[in-house]
Amino acid sequence: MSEPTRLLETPESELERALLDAGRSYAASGSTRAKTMLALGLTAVAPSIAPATTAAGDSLMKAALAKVAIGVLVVGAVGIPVWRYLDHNASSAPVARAPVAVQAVPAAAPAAETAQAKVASAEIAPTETPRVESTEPAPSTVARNAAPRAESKPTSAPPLTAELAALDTARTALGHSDPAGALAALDSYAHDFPRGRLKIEAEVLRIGALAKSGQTEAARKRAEAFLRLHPDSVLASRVRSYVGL
Amino acid sequence: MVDRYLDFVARVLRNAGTPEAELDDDVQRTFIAVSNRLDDVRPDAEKSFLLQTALRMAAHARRTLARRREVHDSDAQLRIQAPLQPEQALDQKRARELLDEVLEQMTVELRTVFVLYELEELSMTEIAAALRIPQGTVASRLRRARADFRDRVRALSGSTHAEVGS
Repeated sequence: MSEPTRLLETPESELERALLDAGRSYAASGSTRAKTMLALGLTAVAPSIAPATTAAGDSLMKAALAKVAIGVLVVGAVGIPVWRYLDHNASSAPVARAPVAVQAVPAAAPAAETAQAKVASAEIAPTETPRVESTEPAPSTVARNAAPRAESKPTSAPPLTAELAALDTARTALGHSDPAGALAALDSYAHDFPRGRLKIEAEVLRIGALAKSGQTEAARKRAEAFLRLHPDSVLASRVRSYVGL
Repeated sequence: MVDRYLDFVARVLRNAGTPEAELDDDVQRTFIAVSNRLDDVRPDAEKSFLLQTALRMAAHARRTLARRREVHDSDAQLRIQAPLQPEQALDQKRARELLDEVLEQMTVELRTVFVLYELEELSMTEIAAALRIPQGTVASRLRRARADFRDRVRALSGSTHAEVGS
């Protein structure tokens, strides 16, 4: 069966061309990428540090995701996160990116109800085979304090990578059963990034840190407020699991 | 995998009807879904799996949006775009808004095939496999979708006398 020529190759008008161009050129923002990586509990490592072919990178990704899916506790430091790579991607949405190796991931975390479970139950129609139950993707194993602190810069919009680094410090602390350290890191994040683009993710981490530090009432209040504001958030189930809602 | 397919997933979601405000969450949900079903995904079928998942997400987003509009009917009036003015250049943002308008007026069946063929440049064979419909159905829907799209763009252009792209 022959395939017709795509409309963009023979547009009828400039308007048609512009609309088709707009549809084809849409790309994810750096913020979307960062939030996706955070939601998966993954940390990106620049190719210069972890050289890998695309296929190898995907293999690592699949391995990492598999560990998320089956809830295997993985212990080990990722090494030195290179935020320059993410920084490069944060401000634009390139069509093609270099391969990124992804190292992960789950640490011991409460996961009575997981973000993944919510996805599966609410959004994804089950297909042929049974779904593998999984635990929550939790803080990455990036070496604590390896991430650079957010530097104050004269620009009005600090790099997203600086926010990621700050949050990763908190996530790592939480993953190492150091909720006090996580809360301190989150306080720093709030101070350094009062209008942070990842403040929702920061709030989820704070709720987890409060719960793990024994401040259950404070955690519960924040969790309830979070769920009122973001009832459909992909992070809502994680918040519930932290406080047993 | 995230790096390779992030733009693809975001684009499919957006063009298939996920509102901009919901995009981050739906991108995350799509990739989380992969993590849940990883053992079921053949290495050569990752893109197809992501595509099917993204289309389901977008369908859910469209339904949610439709319910909201039923509740807030006045919003629908506000959504009517001001016409393009003569000599108005069509920037990317405005083009995106107009594309959303046109796509939203198409039926889901036609829109999906149109998006996958014209914007994602998938082959009709790939589309048939992804949507699990016969190739003849894809061809038929594509023919109607292209005609529908062009009619709507012509109407958009004719009613506004816009001089765009200059």
